[in-house]
Amino acid sequence: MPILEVKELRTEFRIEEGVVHAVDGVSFSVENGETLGIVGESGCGKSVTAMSIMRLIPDPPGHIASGQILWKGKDILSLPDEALPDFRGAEIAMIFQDPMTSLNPVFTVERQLGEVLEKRFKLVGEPARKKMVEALEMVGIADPGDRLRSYPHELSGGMKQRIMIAMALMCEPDLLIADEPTTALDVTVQAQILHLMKSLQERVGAAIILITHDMAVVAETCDRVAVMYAGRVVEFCDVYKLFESNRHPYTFGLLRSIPKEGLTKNDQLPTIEGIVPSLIHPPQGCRFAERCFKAQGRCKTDDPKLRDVGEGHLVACHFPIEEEDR
Amino acid sequence: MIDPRSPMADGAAVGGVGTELAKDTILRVQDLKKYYPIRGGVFSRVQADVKAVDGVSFDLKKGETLGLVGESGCGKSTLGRTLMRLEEPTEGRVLFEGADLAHANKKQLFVLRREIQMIFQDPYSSLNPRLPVGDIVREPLDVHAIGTREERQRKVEELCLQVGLKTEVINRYPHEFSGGQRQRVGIARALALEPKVIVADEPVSALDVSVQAQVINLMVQLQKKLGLTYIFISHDLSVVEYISDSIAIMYLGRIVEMGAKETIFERPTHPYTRALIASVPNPDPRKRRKQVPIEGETPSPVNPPRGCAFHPRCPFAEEKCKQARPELEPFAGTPDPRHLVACVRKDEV
Repeated sequence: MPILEVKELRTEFRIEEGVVHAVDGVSFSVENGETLGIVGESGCGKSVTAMSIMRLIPDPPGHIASGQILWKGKDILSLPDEALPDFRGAEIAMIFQDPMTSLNPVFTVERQLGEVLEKRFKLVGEPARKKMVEALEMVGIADPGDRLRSYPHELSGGMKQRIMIAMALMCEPDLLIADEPTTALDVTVQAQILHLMKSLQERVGAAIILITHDMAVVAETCDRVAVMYAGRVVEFCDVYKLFESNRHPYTFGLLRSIPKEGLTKNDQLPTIEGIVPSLIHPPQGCRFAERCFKAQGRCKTDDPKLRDVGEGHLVACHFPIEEEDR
Repeated sequence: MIDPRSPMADGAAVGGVGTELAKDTILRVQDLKKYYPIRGGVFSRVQADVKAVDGVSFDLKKGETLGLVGESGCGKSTLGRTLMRLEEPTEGRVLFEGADLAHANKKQLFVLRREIQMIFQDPYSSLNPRLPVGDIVREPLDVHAIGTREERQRKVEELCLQVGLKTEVINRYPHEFSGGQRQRVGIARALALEPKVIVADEPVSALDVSVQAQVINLMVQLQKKLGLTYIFISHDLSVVEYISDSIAIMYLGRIVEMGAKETIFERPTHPYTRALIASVPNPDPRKRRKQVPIEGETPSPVNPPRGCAFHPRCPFAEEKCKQARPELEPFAGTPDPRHLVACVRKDEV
């Protein structure tokens, strides 16, 4: 049984111009111990999906309109608000893109980690400190004793992200949601942090949802991948199928537009023409139809459902990519 | 790109004549420095300098794209802004068609700015939100009083078409546009004065991948059509590999390696260049890395390490690396005659 199942999730935001259907019928599942990638471009709903799982959608303007989020079989959406602080962190922890803003600038690292331990394990004093030092060592921070006395501004971006990971893992969650965890970091530090997340995952056995816009990061770290476009999951499969035999024209176009090794400027880069549709008045039918090279009449009227095209490879498309399209 | 064998134009008059460049060299940067003072104490005296750009030299070849690569804080953006004179250089020269941009007076600078234009990273904050797009694109023409009003208006329409925007957009405001369209507006404005050189500072970093490809294609197409020379500043190695002819890698205010694109990617020599290239994740799940290419992070430019700034992270560092700072010198280990490396152990590593 999957550890997390998201079923037909709909999350909306009410703004002056109307209702933004940010997540519009999203379903996927996460198996115990796996790394699931959620990939897509800005505004596709990947972060809103994560915030919905954490019940962190600011209301107003947002609210979860319908759907189910089953955590070990129980619906998170029916949890009373009082139960949320114990659920967050303990069961599912989250780290964010910007480690600069996720730590409180006026408290030392020790105070912030200590707060977490006190809340979660009622641990204070020397045993708490011992656990903090262990956690910092585990994420590869040198001189953990000194670092505990530091304030966030004294730490580099990579160091802060390591501390966020330490904080998340100290709580021993079964699922870690990482929302663009390396986007704000330099590429050499990104490689370190991704490696760290993977090696810690092997040690503690937690599942990871990795949210990213970077296909190369997906290739590097994920087991299975959900590709999102305009509030929907358009393709869901294992990472090898995604890169080698993807079937949705959006996935196909997205991967082709990454400059490949050995290409020069004499080869034109393949692009996806056009822009994403409005999420206030999403088009009828397939949301990608207007930009799709395979679109036919029925794509503009008939909304494609996510369906199995073989071996658990799910695609929401009437005319998936065939060999002759490649 | 620099040719180490070509004699540097020494003793040339500041901002004047006598700065002969090789025929295919459009711009030469000579020992450019940009220091920011750190003040402190009761009288806010200068206590130290942040050496954001610390002695950078290169030649830019006509019609080429030079990719300027490095991680945050390496000085690549400051270098771009300093050679445009958006920042006052501390030292050094920027030679362009017989003039020295770094020492030009206001009047000379006004003229020179027509020739060198800039495209910025963030299309959301680099366009005036209160002006319609037509005015934004026309502004440089107004400032330089080029043509009659009708001619300017025609030029604006022509520029919009050239960057793939419809002429209807002229009366619309930036907030009505997507990121990719805004970057097209920024490019149209940069082209208004028909410059020869464009400094593009992370021009596609804020854009989604599919839109990124559209803007890159546009830049390449404009370069071919108009014979533009680009300095393309970016942290994204796959984009730089695609668009550049030659590449300079920066680390803590200095160029550590420079050469033809193929040399840098196929035969990277400086240990930092190698680590940087090895750190880029590969969009192929069958080529996952087994280990971390390099530990540690870039040290603070306020207090850089002695000797080679990279030595604390370098797997090849030895005692001599901590003593003297290595100069950027020709490297004979590759067939590229323009390959330069700043590493004392370049012949061994």
